[in-house]
Amino acid sequence: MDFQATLGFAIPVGLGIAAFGCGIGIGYAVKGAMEAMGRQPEAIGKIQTAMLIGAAFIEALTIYALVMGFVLMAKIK
Amino acid sequence: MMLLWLAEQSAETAAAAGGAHAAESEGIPELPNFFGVIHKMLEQYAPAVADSINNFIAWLGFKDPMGTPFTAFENILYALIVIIALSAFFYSGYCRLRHAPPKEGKLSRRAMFSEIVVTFFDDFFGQIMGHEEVRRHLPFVGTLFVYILCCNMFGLIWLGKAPTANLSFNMGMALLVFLYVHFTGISRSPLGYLKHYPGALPTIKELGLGPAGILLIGFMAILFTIIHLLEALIQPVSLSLRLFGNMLGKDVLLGVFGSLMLIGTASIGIYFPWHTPFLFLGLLLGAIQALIFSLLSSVYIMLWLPHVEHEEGHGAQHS
Repeated sequence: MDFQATLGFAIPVGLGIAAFGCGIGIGYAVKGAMEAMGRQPEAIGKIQTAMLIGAAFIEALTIYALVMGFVLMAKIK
Repeated sequence: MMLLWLAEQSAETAAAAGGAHAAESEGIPELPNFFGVIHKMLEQYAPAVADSINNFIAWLGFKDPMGTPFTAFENILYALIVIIALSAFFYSGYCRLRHAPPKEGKLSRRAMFSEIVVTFFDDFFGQIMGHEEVRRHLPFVGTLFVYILCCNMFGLIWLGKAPTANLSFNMGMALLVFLYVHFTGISRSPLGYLKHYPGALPTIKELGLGPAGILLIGFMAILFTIIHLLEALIQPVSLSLRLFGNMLGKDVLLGVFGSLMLIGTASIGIYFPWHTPFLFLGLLLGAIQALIFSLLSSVYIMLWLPHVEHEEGHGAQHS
């Protein structure tokens, strides 16, 4: 099996695994934010901001895998 | 009707030349942008001019691994447009305010808008950096936010491209942040900056191992120095990669769904913009990523300033 077939198989699987882990992570973050918002509705603005910032951090990890996918995709031809 | 014909013509010219065919020949599928359309038309109708432009750009050293050298040069032009527009807007307002101080509460709309923006960032970054520290660094961090926001929004305009969708562009900004952060830390107190790298180590007596504790502390100091050095070096890389990945993903999404507009015409018979929902996603992501970039820059500035050396605070800041 040559390297192009391997790349063609590995890139989407790798991206899927990265998205899987980050999805769980963002789920935890948003769960914490929802519970905090339910407990104290007058602090919803601040909690929302903090949740968005945390979600952007975790999402960046999936974006790293996506960037590697773009870089390697150029080698499949 | 005229608008539809215009969109059809430009989309066909540019997408057939740049977008849809580029997916087969080279690079990333993207929506066409203004300077790319001009470049393609020059190549068709005046090849000599296009050749001399290409040679000049390649001689200057522009390289883009995901496209032609001209796509790397386009980012400079869009960035210049953003810079000139922002500078003209805010600087002329500043000059007008300075030379004609306003009467009682009669500010112009531009002055009120600028005041809202600046006080918002003053509060927002003041909560992170402390209200006496934020005034010194607000020009840098606030400008970073507004500049990145406007650059990102250019990727949503028709015939526009976000300059931040290029890794070298973001690396330049991240390098600037890196230099600013460390220069601020060193100039505030060089000894405190150097003491930051080993971190908070326990004294020899606290370990209780006697003279052999020196070896353990030396080992811990070296380990923590290496860890903090790596952390300092990875911060600009992660900053730029995060922004680049988000913007490139949005561009590719818009490009793929936009080229679907041309392909899907045969089945439906009308040009339907399938990429419309992703424009809203791009709006949200562009704003969030600009906020994240500037927020992280302010957090790094605060981290590398000399702070009071107490154990739990240090540990919590470096968690």
